[in-house]
This record gives sequence, C-alpha cells and structure tokens, in this order.
Amino acid sequence: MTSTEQKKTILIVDDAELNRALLSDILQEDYNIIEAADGTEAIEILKKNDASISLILLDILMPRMSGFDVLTIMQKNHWHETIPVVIISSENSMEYIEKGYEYGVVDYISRPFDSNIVLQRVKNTIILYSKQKELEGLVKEQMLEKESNNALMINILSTIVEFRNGESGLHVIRIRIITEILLEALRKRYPEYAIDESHIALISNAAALHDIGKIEIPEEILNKPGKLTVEEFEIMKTHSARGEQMLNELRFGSDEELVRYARQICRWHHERWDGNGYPDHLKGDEIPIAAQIVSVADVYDALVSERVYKPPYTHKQAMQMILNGECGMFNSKLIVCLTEVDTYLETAVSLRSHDPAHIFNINQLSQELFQKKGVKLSDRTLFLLEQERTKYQFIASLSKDVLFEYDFSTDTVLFSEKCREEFNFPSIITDFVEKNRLYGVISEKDFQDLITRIESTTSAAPVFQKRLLLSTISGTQEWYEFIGRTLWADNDGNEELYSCVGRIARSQSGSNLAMQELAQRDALTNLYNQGTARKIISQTISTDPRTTGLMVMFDLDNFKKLNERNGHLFGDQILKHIARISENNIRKKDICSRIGGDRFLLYFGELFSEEFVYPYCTTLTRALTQKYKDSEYTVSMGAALYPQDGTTYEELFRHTKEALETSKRRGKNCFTRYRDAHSRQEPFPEAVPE
Amino acid sequence: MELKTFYENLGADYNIVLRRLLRESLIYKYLNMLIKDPSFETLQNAVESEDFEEIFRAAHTIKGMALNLELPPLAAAASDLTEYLRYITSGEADISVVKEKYEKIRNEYETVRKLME
Repeated sequence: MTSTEQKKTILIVDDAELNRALLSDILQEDYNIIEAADGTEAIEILKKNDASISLILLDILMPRMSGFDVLTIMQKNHWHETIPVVIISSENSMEYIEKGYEYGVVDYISRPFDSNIVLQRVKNTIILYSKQKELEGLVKEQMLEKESNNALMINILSTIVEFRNGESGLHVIRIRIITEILLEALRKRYPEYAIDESHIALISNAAALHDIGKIEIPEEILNKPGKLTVEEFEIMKTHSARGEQMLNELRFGSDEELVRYARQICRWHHERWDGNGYPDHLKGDEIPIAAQIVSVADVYDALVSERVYKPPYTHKQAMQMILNGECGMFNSKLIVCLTEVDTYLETAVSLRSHDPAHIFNINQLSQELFQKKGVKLSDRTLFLLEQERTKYQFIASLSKDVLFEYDFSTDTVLFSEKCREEFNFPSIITDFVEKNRLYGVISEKDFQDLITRIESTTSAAPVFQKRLLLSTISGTQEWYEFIGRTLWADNDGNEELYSCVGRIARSQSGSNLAMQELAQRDALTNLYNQGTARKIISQTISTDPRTTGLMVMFDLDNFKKLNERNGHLFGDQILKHIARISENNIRKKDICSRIGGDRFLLYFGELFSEEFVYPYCTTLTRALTQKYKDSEYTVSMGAALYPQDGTTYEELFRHTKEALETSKRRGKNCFTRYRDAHSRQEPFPEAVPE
Repeated sequence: MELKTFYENLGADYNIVLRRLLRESLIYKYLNMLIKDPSFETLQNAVESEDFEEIFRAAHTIKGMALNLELPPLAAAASDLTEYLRYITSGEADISVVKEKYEKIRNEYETVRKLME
C-alpha cells in the first residue's frame, strides 16, 4: 500500500472480543478497522459510513441480531451491492454456506484464522470489488455517451425539419422540455399509465419528430402568411398521417421502441379527448398517452410563440386558455398535471432552452437501462445526493436570511426563496457573473470586489466575508454581510473552483458601526461622498473642539476641456487616479471625499500647527499633479483652518470654498489659504511632472 | 509460565499457533481475552435456565475462540455440545446430556485458567 493512497476501511462484526481482536491485529497495519460487537451496532455504523467501508467481516452467530439478519438489512439498503461481505464463522455446514451465498456473501473464512491467509483473502476481495466498480463506471460512461449522441442527432434532424416549417429550433427544444415535465408529473401522480424513467426519455426524444410529416406539405401552404382556406387546411392536416407513414417505411429500426413512440406521436398528436381531433377521431384513452402529452405540449408552445397571425401569449394567458378548453379538450388527468407544474413550467422552459445539453435527462435513461441489467450502482449515490439536498433545503427554509449557491461551470446561482421577499430578484439566475445580474441591487464596483474576493479564496482558506451595501425591495439601501465558502474539485491534482455557498444577512448595527452605517461612498472613486464627509467632519469637530483641524478643497483645472479632448472615460480615470493619490497622502484617520464632478474635499483632524499648512499643501499638490498617462493637468486648491477660519463645518466649508475660488481667479494652478477679506496669496511652484 | 509449556500441557501444538498468529505477545493477549470472555458465564446461565438456543450460541462462540487459539481439548468439548444441539429441537433435548457436556467444557476452561495463573 503506497503512502499516498488512503487506507481502506474494514468493518469487523463479531460478538466475541477475542475474535475481533484477532482479526484487527492481523489487518490493522494495512487497513483502518471499525469494530462492532453486534448486528445493531454494525447497522448503525453502516448507516453513517457506507460510502467509506470497503469490506465487512461478518460473524453469523450473534445474540439478538444474527449475521443473516444483518445481511437482510444490507440488502434492503442496497449496501450489499457495493460492499463485499466475508463471513467469518466456525459454522461451515453446507447449508450455512449456501445460505450465505444466497445473500450475496462473497467469501468464507473459517476458523482457526491464519494471519497470512486472512490478509491475502481480504486484499484480494477488496481489489476484485473495486475493479468491478471501476468497470461498471466505465460502462456507464460509454452508455451515457452513446445516448447523448443519439439525442443530439435527433435534435439536429428535427431542427432542420422545423426550419422548413418556419419554426425556430427552439420549438423542438421546448416541446421536448414540456413533454418531459408533463411525463414526470404524470408518472408520479398516475402510476396506472406505467411510465418509467426510460419511457420518459424515449418519449421526449420521439416528441421531437412530431411534425416530421410537414416535409411533404407544399411550401405555399406551410408558410402562408394568412389564414388557410378549407382545402389548404385539409392538406395541412395530412401531415400527421404522412409522418407516421414515413416512419413506417423505414427499412430499419421500425420496431425500435423509439420509433414506435414516434409513430404514435406523429399520427395522433392532433387527436382530441372528445374525438374531435384528426386524422382518426380517436377518443379518450384510445389515444396513446405519448400522443396526448405531445398534443398538450404542442398547443402550449404554439400559444406562447409568435405566429404570423398572432403575437405570443404570456405563460399565464396560455394556461388560462388551455384550462378553459379554448384549445380543444384534453384528458382531465393531463390538465391536473399541467396545473401542478404551472410555475415550474414557466421557469424551466425559459432556463433550459439555452442549454441543449440539459434538455434531455440522459442520466435517467442510462440509469434505467443499467437497472434492467441489475446494476444499481448509481441508484445509491443518487439517493444519497437526494437525501443531502432535502436536508439542505429544509435547513435553508428555516433560515430568515437569504442563502445562495453558485456553480462556476454553468455560471448559475440559486437563491433561497427569501431573496424574492428581500430583494426582488428571482431565485435562479443564469449568466450571473458574465452579465452581472445583480445590477440595480449592488453597485458594479462592489460586485467586482465581491467576485475578486471570492476568487482569491483557496481550498485551504475557503471562507470569505464581505460587507456590502445592497438595495432592498423597499428601495432603501442597507448593509449586508456576505459570508460563504468555496468548494473545490480535484482535477488530476489541480484544484478547481467548483461551487460556492453562503448567506446574505442583514448587518448588525453596533454603536461602533454607527459611522460605517452613515458611510455612503462615491461609486467611481470609492471616496466618501459629500453628505458622509459632512457628517464625519462635523462629528470630529464636535468630539474634540479644541484640536486644530485643516480643511482642503481642490479641483481639476479645465476638467471640462480635458473630458472633451480625451473622452469622459479618460476623465474618470484621472479622477480615480487623483482619488488614490489623495488617499495615499493622508493619515488613516483623515477624511478624503469627492464632493463634486472633479472637486475633492479633505479634512485633517488634529493638526499640529499652522505652519504645517503651506508645506503640506505644496506636497499634496505636487503629488496630485504628476502626469497621468502623458496627459498634463493641474489643480487649484483652497484651505481653511479650524477653528481660526471657521468654527462650524458650514463656516469652514464656505471659507475653504472661497479660498478655492480665489485660486481660480488668480489663474489656477495655485493654492490659497483663507484669510477673511485679505487672502494670503501662496503661489505653488510649477507642477513638475515626476 | 512459558507459552510453549502451556500448550504442551494442554496437549496442543504450540508451533501451529505461532505460525498462524505470528507473534507471541499477541497470543498472550488473546489467551487473556479468552479467560475473560463473557461467553463462559453466558453458557453457565443458559444451562441453568435451560435456554437451548442461548446454550448453542455460547458454546459455538467458545468453540470458535478455542479453534483460533489452537486449544483442541476445549474446542472439542464445545463442538460436542453444539453438534448435539444442532439437529434436535428444544423439545427433544435432554437437559442432563446437555449438562454433562457442559461440564466437560467447564473443566477445560478451568484447566486453561489455572495454567494461565
């Protein structure tokens, strides 16, 4: 056993401690051992670990639950198909052995135990079994591929036919989807129709061929823009019988189940429950159920599609019309099924129309065929998956927060139902990242930040957290915590981002978060906006009225001309550039904000002295006016000191602005400090590109 | 007492055991477990209450353990009892026969126990 392989696990079930110890000692070097002292314990262990146990060594004679009882329970849970059982018993009478094999026991090891023999037999059994699993997996894969190709061919061919009919390829896809959905509902609700998974797959496949007869209908009738005359309509109606005839005359495969369904569907998808359909005026259940379902699907699809003679109806309208009997009579059971899948239908048709790979649930077909051959491997896995999903959904429904699940390969996100109440966006969103489907709820920048943050997780550190401002359904903006973790898939040693789950919860507002709650930032530069800046600065002043502070305001000279010459996008870039420089030139506790198109406001609490003002502003300006991508620009600046030049925010602001305006009047590209009516004039050194 | 001697006293072949179980230390451990195994008590109780199914099971377990540890006398005694009970129903079973066979098992068990001290 190489060190990189994981040790396999063996379950030993025997009521005598001695026997367990014997076996355990023999095997524990090479395997993980779990012991059970009786049948009940063994079953409990199996329930929790059935995926990881590679072999069971089972005694027969045990109190309360015998080994055979254990085997019976294993059969019920289908564990016996994937976990080999070896009987360890001193019972070696013929009948016991035979009985054992009936239960699917793989081998017998009798007492007394010989270490070497036990080890060998165990090893061999495990290897044999894992090879079998591998082979089954391979076969299944091949079957999947074959079925997938089949479905693809049918798709292509029927789409081509439909094109001639003036239909889009979408019609074929939708008919399949609707047929499949209705069949599923029918299968669950009305088992008397004896529909199983493979039938569903075949019928949906066959449904694609329902209008194949239209190939023989003359073009003038087929694509006539106006209403058909009585004679023309009679000719049109022949497409059902013609379709069936063509399939009848196939030289090969005419006995295949697929073709049989296709013939039924072709000929009778225009029959109606009350016998008023065509061509054979079949009534009620004389009409094969496959044809009945396709006719409902066909009617629905016709209603929601655009036609030369009508616009597309909405899903609701179409449902109404069908339920009111405006489109012919249908089997009441089908109507029940249709009503049941109402909401699901609408979503499913719009979603799945985009991804042909998902139209046809190929897995189900292969699985069904597999089952007929007696291999139920995937059944158990699917069952387990279903269990997990049910658990998850239940837990999710208990939460008052919005939960989400995102899949990287399909770029699709699923939200729990709460998202509709909270944010008013749908619970399934495709093209999520590609098209930023949360636009309107979250800012572009925040969205990108979030994506970056998620993408920077690793499988070792998969948890991420981000606080974001979101627009709720009531129009307000609130703070939310995004918390989640990414899941990774191992692709031959490389780890790939596979999916992501998490929660969006309202942010708790603590008293120390009051500031941040106020924070509303400018979207472009991520600096504070004016409102926030005012609040924060006012707060700073009132908290510590005795410390000197400095307010600086500056803007870009001739910004308008800059935009016109280089484009607004470029102007935006410069603003971002300036914002970054400003942030780099202030201390953590200082405030930097954007208060106008190209106007910025800075505030320094706790300034040391007046003498600081001039050198600082000079340095700041020099930093700000470094060339940006070969474009030269300059700023004008005004400054005012607290409390000398103003004792309230408003006063300070006014005076700083006046100072700025003075700079402008003086020819721009300079800095002015406010001083009553006699502004001290402080020209800058020339902006030196560095 | 040395294991080799122990086995010789029982008329058993130590070499066979060693070959099968590989390590002497393990054999010690197992022998101790054997002495302590509740099956002997279970068997005793079952004989007293004449619960034939339980008797069968307990004797069977003892037989298995004895086989594993290469203790032929004990194994034989246990096997004797299980075979007697195997093919007869509880109605036909003769409790005195059962008790007799049980005594043999008990003797062997005592022998082993004494040797282990």
